[in-house]
Amino acid sequence: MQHTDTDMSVMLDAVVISEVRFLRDCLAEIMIRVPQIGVCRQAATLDQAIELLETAQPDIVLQDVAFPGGPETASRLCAAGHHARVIVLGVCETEENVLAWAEAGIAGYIPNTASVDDLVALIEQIERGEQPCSSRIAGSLLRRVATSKQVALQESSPLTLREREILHLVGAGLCNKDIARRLGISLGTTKTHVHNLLGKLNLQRRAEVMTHVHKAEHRTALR
Amino acid sequence: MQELRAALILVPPLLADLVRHVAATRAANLDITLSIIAKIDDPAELVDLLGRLAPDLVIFGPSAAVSRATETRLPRGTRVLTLSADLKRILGPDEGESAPLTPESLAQRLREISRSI
Repeated sequence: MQHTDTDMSVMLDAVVISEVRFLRDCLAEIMIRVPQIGVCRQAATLDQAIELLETAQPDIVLQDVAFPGGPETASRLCAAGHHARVIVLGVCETEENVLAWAEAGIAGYIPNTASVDDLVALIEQIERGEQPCSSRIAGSLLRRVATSKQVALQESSPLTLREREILHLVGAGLCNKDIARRLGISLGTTKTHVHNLLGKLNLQRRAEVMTHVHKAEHRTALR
Repeated sequence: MQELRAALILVPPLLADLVRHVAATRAANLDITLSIIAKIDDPAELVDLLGRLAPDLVIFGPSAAVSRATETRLPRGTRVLTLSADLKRILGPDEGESAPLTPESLAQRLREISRSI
């Protein structure tokens, strides 16, 4: 990042990463047209890119979608780039693709239908923390975030899958005999599970289990 | 300035724009005006459109199978450049001719073609 002498506005450094020289040369010229970008360097290999990330510490990395490794490479660049924001160029805007790149940690993407003018405008928008995309893509991203949250909650739970299952049945007001019948297990096994889950959740009585479950459901609904 | 009328065939949007913006700028430095008179993405329209437009030059995108099949049906005298599938080489205008694809090499090809028409 540089400050210009005249207006002290912040100028950004960029790196274009592509195996294709024609794309690198052209994109480096185009990138300079983005008002905030002062310098645009080029890398043809991942090693060159990582070296540039360490030495030049760019603000923006523009990765060609066809660069070997795809999202995995983007993930490595994100990890190696300190504060660099990775933007992927030429993404085919399917839900599956966008989610894969999003999970790699990119700051934004340029769709494969973009023109040069779109490219310049999109980089400016991504720099402001924005990413234009279709409502379908936005919906997919929201669903993925929600699913990830639920998985994380489940993984952080001290209960086993069976205990969580029984927890919800106790919370629904079922007695041990009904739970045993519902799950097709013995009454003794059911009692053991209930005993264990009470201990793990530091609860004393079934009424407390019901309160615990209702509170958890309320928290989930608010997220 | 000599005008070179070109049609881009099956060239993806961004690549077409890069040719238009970057290579055309280089060509202008060589006293050639590159005019993109058509951008054709539907193979079914190719022969008819090219017959009517009669461009000096056709640039095929990285979709070689389509370009080779179509090349034989182009209007006589139309010069053909093809961007290789990996975008690393430029093929043509003469058969078997090939060079690394850079903005400079593309502009150089445009100059050679403009001199030969």
